[in-house]
Amino acid sequence: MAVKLNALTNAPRLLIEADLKPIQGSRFQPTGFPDLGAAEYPAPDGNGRMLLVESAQSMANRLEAVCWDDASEDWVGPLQGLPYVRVQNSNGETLTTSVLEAHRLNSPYILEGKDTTVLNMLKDELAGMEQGRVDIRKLAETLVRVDTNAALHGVFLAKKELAGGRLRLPRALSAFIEAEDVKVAPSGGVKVDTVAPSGDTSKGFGNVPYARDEYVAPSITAYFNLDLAQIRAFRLGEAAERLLITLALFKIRRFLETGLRLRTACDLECQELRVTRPEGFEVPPLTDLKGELPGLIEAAAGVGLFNEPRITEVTYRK
Amino acid sequence: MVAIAFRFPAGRYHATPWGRHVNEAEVEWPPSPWRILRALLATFHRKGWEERYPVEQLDALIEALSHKLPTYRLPPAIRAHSRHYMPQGRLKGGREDTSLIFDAFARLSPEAELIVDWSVSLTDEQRSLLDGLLGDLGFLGRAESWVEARLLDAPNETPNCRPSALAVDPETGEALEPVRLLAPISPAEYGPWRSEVVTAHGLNAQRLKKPQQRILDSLPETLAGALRVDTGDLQQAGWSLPPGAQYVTYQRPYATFAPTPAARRQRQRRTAATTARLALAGKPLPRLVDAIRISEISRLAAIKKAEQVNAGHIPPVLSGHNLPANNRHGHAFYLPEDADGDGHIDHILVHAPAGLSAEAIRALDRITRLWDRDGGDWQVLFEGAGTVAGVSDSIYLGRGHVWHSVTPYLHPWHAKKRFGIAEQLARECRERGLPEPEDVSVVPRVNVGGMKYRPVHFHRFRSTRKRLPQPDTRGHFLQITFPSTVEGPLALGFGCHYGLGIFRATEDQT
Repeated sequence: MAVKLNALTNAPRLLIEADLKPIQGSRFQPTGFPDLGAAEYPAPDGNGRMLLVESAQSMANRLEAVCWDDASEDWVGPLQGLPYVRVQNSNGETLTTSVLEAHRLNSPYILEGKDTTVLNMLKDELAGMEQGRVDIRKLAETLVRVDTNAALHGVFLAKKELAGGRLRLPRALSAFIEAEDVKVAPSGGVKVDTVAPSGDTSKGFGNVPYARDEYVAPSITAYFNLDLAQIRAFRLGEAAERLLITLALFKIRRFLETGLRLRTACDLECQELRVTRPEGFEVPPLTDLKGELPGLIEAAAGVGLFNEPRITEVTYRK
Repeated sequence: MVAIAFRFPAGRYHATPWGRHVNEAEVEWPPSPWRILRALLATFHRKGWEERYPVEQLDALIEALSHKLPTYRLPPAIRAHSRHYMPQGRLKGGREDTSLIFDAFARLSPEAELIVDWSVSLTDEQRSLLDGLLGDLGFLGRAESWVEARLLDAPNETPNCRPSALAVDPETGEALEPVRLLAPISPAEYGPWRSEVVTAHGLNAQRLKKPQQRILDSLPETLAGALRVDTGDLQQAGWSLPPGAQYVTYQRPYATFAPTPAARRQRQRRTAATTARLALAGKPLPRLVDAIRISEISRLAAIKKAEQVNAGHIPPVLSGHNLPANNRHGHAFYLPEDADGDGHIDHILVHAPAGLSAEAIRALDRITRLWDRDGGDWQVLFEGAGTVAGVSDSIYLGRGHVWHSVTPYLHPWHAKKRFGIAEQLARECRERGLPEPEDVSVVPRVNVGGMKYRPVHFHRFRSTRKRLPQPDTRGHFLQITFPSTVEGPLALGFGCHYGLGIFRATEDQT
């Protein structure tokens, strides 16, 4: 069944909310660092406390991770053929790719190594922007050509050689997860060493007491925002627009179906998906999106939107 | 009249004020006029509006909105932040370097609207352009600040944040919080200011050095041009304040970032506390026959503590003084209690039918010691306060038809013919709103700690210098039967606030 996107034609943005709940039990572990703790803050209406379960940055990485097949070190099936940059070491083994890197094309493994293939390519593509306003359409066109995924998630090419470090493309697809009215569920225990309870803990011996804070919440919601006006403003033609929107919907659907094991102690499931803007649009099921994508990728390649070969190789040497 | 309503569908607004470092975790609230105008410009250039409208139209719109400073209507919000380690895009020790980042934001309800209002008039074309740009505006501030903006026909809310140097609302006298916002100077002032700067820095010379060229490049001819200059270029040229911008002091409500109190969850109606219970510890404990003395020193201790904690003010409910004439025993009864039946006082029940005020409870809570002139010294522990139902451990808080004396009852009026104990009791009960007793019988002795005591064994006199009329000096033990259930505590007769005339509900044995 073809994916219908007519309802999005004139909408400036697509807003989606998904109600989540822990798949087992009621506790979950939010994002946080051992020395920083979780991101808790009071709710604006004074009703309890809110908790940032997953930040926008982290969600961007997750929406990319669900597109990647670690076993085959390539895109998942329906996305085969999308351009990206692959970084290999001098033995030809894959180190990382622009899809897996936190900063995408701005990864130091792509731009800071001795192999300046991508840097030079970007310099050529984006020449003439040292002065005046950055041409965002040109930047988007280059991104779709080299690393299509970055056109959705945005990129900040903070290199002086590239338009004075001013090349920024804001996220067209952004998301975060928040929980309301949270309460801390503190627990803890002791790693027991029956042989030498007071052994040297720095070497792994001895009893080690530990504490952990998990959370419970009556509602956990994932919010997704797709900036359709931004995608249309790239002016890359209908093939590219359809591809980018369908790719974004695929990411959201696939994340909600396969990517909700955020951490060992934070395994969630989606209970309900709501489109809040525009009215009358329904997110197509994952099977339809999977069926549609290969055709859209080939159509985009057909109108010359992609680099050939699709995968740009870079060898990283310090 | 141009009013824009902003909603933040993610419930979050992230923006760092000009001149502040992101890790100061400061939020620019409200969004400055400068930020709003730059957002409109960015939307125009980044979302394909150049093909629909001439740039001159946009410049005219921006200049029209620069003529006046807007007012704001701020919705309730709170300030919050999260922290994370952000990859820096460079390698350090073979790994990608990270740096600790504070991400501050204002958290508000996704339905709440921030209304910005300019008292300027626009042409129809400018209005429709503005309307279109607002529809395409995706975020305001950082990319996580999702926004939905729309043009309002007329703002129906009064502004609560205005440009003003006065940190007090002249109408209400309310204190306000000054906040510096970046706003464009008026377009008419920009031209002369620019020529002044160009002349002062010699930027009109034939040949310019690199730093001078940078400054000149960041000084476009028009104000709308100045609003377009990239922040990076401004910083490179060394501007501490963007050309064409000025700081304006706005006054926002003092509690801008205070959480609004939530609607109270439906709780049971709290009834005022009427009863508190103190526990005594010490060896030996005072005897029950000295109830009136212990009661008196408890009252004195309560008054003393009330003076200390309430800056000299003694709640009348504790002292029983200065009460209105119609106060019928609403003030505190100090009822010594022998809960374990060993003949010694181990608790004191303080009961005020009119209710114990918070300051009275605070005073009782502070009593830690009781002592008398005969060397008795006891430690006191505040067990708690509440309603009669909430302090139900006390033996005096029973319910029943039949009540027995615990301490002697001394009739309060002079006895006359046809005005003996039964009649006086009946009158007292009437005046207290209790049912009149069906039957009153005298009991010769009561059991105190396993011994049979007559009323004369009890101490029956107040230790006051005032000459109190005391019609009854002997006292009786009684059994009173009421026609309906009566709730405790029950203390009647002379000295009933001082531990005399205490009754206890018992099983109906008749």
